[in-house]
Amino acid sequence: MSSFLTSRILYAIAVVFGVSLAVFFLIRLGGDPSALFLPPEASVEEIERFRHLMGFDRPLVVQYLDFISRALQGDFGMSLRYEQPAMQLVLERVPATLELSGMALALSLVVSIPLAILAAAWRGSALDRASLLVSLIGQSFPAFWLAIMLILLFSETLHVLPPSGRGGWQNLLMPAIVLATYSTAIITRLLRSSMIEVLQSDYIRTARGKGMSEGSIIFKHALRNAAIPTLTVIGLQVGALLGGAVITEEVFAYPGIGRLAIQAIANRDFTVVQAFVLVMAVTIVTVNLLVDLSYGLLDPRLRKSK
Amino acid sequence: MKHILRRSFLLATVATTLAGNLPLIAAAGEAGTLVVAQPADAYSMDPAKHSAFPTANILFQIYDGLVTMDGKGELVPALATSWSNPDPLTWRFKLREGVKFHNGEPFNSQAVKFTFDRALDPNFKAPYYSRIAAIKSVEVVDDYTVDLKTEKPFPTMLLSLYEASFPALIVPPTYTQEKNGDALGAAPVGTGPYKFVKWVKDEEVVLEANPDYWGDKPKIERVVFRPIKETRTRIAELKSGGADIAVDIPPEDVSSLEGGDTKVETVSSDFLYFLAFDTTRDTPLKDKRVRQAINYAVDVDAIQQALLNGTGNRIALTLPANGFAYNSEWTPYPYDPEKAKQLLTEAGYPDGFSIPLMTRKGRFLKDSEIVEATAGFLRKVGIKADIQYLEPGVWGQISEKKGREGITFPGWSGRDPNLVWFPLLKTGQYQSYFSNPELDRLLDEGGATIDAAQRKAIYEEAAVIMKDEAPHLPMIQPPLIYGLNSKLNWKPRTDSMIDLREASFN
Amino acid sequence: MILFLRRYLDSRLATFGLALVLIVVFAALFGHWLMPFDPEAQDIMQRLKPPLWRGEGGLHLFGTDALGRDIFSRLIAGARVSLLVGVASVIISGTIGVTLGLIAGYEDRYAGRILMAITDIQLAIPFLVLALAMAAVVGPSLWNIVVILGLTNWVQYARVVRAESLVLREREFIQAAQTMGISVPMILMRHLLPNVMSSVIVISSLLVAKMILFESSLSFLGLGVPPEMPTWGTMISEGRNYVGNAWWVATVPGFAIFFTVVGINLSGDRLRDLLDPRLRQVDS
Repeated sequence: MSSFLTSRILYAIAVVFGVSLAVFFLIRLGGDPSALFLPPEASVEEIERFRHLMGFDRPLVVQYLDFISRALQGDFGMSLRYEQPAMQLVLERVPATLELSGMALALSLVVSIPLAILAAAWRGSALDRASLLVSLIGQSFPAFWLAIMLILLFSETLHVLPPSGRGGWQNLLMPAIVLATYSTAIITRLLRSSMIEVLQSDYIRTARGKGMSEGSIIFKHALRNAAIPTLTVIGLQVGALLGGAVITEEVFAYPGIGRLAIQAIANRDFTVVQAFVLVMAVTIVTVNLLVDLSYGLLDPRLRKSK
Repeated sequence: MKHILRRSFLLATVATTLAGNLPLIAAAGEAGTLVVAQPADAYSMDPAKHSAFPTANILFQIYDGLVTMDGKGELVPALATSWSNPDPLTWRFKLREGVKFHNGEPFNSQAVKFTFDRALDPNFKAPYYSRIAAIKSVEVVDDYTVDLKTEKPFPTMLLSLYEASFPALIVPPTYTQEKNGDALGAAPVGTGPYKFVKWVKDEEVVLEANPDYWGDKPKIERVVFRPIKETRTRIAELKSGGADIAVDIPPEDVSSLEGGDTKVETVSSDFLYFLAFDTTRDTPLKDKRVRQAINYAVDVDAIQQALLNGTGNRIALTLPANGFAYNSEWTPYPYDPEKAKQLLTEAGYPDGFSIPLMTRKGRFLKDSEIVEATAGFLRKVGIKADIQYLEPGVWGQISEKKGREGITFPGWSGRDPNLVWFPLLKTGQYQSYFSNPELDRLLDEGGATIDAAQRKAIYEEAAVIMKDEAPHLPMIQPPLIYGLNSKLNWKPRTDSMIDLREASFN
Repeated sequence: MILFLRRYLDSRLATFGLALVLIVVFAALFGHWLMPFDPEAQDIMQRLKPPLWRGEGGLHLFGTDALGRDIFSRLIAGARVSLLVGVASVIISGTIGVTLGLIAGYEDRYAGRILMAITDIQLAIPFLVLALAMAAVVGPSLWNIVVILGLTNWVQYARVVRAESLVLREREFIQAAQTMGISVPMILMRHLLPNVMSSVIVISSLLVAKMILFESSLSFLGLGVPPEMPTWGTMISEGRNYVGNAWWVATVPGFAIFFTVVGINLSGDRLRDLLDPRLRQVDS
């Protein structure tokens, strides 16, 4: 087990390293930010001078080696725009994004788990149809459209929710709903079909034959078994939630890392983009690692094929 | 009703609070708090370390320049009380006495010298270096007199010293040198009407009134700047009482904001919308008649009427109507598609031609709509404009390589021909895609003359060439539209800088 | 085939979904005859007119947009571009993902592990950030957007196809093919590929829907397909500035996306139920 764990962790580190390499070169393919950073009337000589001062005129490989050797010592470079350590800029916005995506994940679990269980228990009922409808509608909206419609309704017209910013739960409500829509749809649909599959299996039939109550069948057996595949998907949804936060944060002017990332990409603030992607990659890889491990623990047979 | 709801939310918040730090955002307009919603957050609190207008809007409340712009667009005294030119290469400024920075440091000629010496040091990497680069040295004459020296006569010096020339805001020498110069970027200290309180990144910058301000005391106790990129969200904040000034309101929303708790203030900006033609490559645009034809083909008045609700100023040449040397008797080409077709036929393009139209999107008010409407008019005379929206970084790179092809919609600002025509039209200038020896001579002359009447005469001559050669299609000075709390008294400025020195609530 | 269709149509919801898809496909293919106006023709004096507005040129069923263009005609023109973006990008993703998945599943020592590491790297970068960075590099054009969407969405194929290949390669017919000395590419193409095809079809159908949504997200962030070719995503993102006083400009294309995606998802779900009921990770 421990060697399994070690190899998984080493692998995860390699993946994060690969991400840093890919992103470093990708964002630099489009050229450096010198021309963007200076005022419109700046001359070519001034742009060249600035470029040289910033070291953007060095070969990319040299720049990468410089970056990686500093990064290994915990120095991820200074933001060009903010003149502050890039990693600090990202990390100080992490709590806001965690709060938002945590709220969204909680929201989607609170809606999807009971809905899916009930839908599976009473298959074909009105409730089941409702669950289908929820999962269908939830994955068919462009998120930003939904966001703008909510703002129009609840802030501009009804004046009941603040349209932007961070503060109380009322600031969090609309963005969390927008962010949760897609995950809710996916988790509901998946958990429902897993439950149905388990409920039809032989051993559940045997349990029924033994006279076990329907309630304990559903909660003791079906749910536990259906939880395994669902967990994987929830793990993958964490990545999707963090990615989706980019748009949601932008519309609701929510001070999280997604908004920082969009600005940084537009401004070619390389160090900030790198720091952001690294933080995201570490989060996603860690979550998937945890899911993988729990998966392996719940069902040892899977360990080999993974 | 709104307040009851807010209060019950507050109770619920207390009950469900996750962390301790969840204060409700101060309701706008209450207890002397003014909330400004603008599209972006500050990048730095150091005026010489940024290149963005939203940042400048915040810093202008904290710092002062030597001169400032008044409501009529005139440059008037601020930290300098008067100025003169002892010789053509010297600008001498008398400084205001008895002014103190927020931390108690005195303002004097040393502070002025320190400010410019710091920003002019190439290793300091000030992004707006070029705005002040004409200043070769700063010499202290006495405690309250400084000389700014230039290599060549520099008639537009005052425009390099007021607040829109970012690194020209005066910083306190002692404090600025603390912590390797990092202190100022996080916790600014200036001489301005508002003192810095706190900056929560991407969320808000909070300022409070400086009771010791050298000018009129600020009338509003607290000022909050909030970054909200999405236009709809800014409007929603304004309507629901979460903001008192919402920047960049689309003309379509003006009517819905007039009346009730909100109102609208509109002013024509110093900004210039125009099409520029690349005459350096071998395209139909090399032919003067084609450039004139394009000027005849686009109904700019209709565009202004329809897309901007008639706001803004129609301009005859690429210069703001309130800029230096602009003559109200200049007229633009009239809308005459028949004449356009005739000119195209004369030039040898009876069936028109295809040409790229390069621009950026979402940078200026209604930019993409105006460009697309323009392309629509060009299509009617047979010119197929192939619109390419370039991402700003790509635009920058293309510009650096002088690669803007065909027609472009670059946007520009400047209140003097030397700041507009010279960089955009003088042969070989970085932004210039045009060449005319006679015009070059006039632009050089105008840039080296200090006497205002003489300069006007020179530019009047240049205007004749520009009209005939038609290197641009001059369009509009777009409006700046602000949504306001109806209780707020505040007037916008043409250079888009937000000045809260005079703002007050009823 | 007919039998399959009959089974498909057993579900009323799926029939409804298929009908929606067919309408969109029809509009995309024969739109030129359906458009009452030139979708590019502007009349800025007749801008932002409400649905059922009767202008000089005739009835504007869904009104006009900010430049006075007929929204109904643009909607139809947009069907073609949106569908093209969805299908073409899925073909790119599918090709990349299936190839990598087959190789990684068949040979899981070196090539396979490296390929899977690449998938994990891809998975650890949020899609939108990757797409934005790429769009910033190459600039937004129709085909660039297609390629970007294609390059950033192949992971699902790779994972599913690899998992299936891992199982399949232990089966007798593959083992037999190996002993007969058939070359690896042949085995992959002739023997493995047909057996993973049903999963690929199901993934593809659902991914088309996602791609249409992704394109609209890119448009929202200002990096969508340029305006000469209206996509629904561009139409919403440009219309969103007018929702306060001309709701139809953004809402009409919004519903077009919604119904199309619903239709594709319903059809895709049904395909999955019929072809590959065990495939559930598809939309993760």
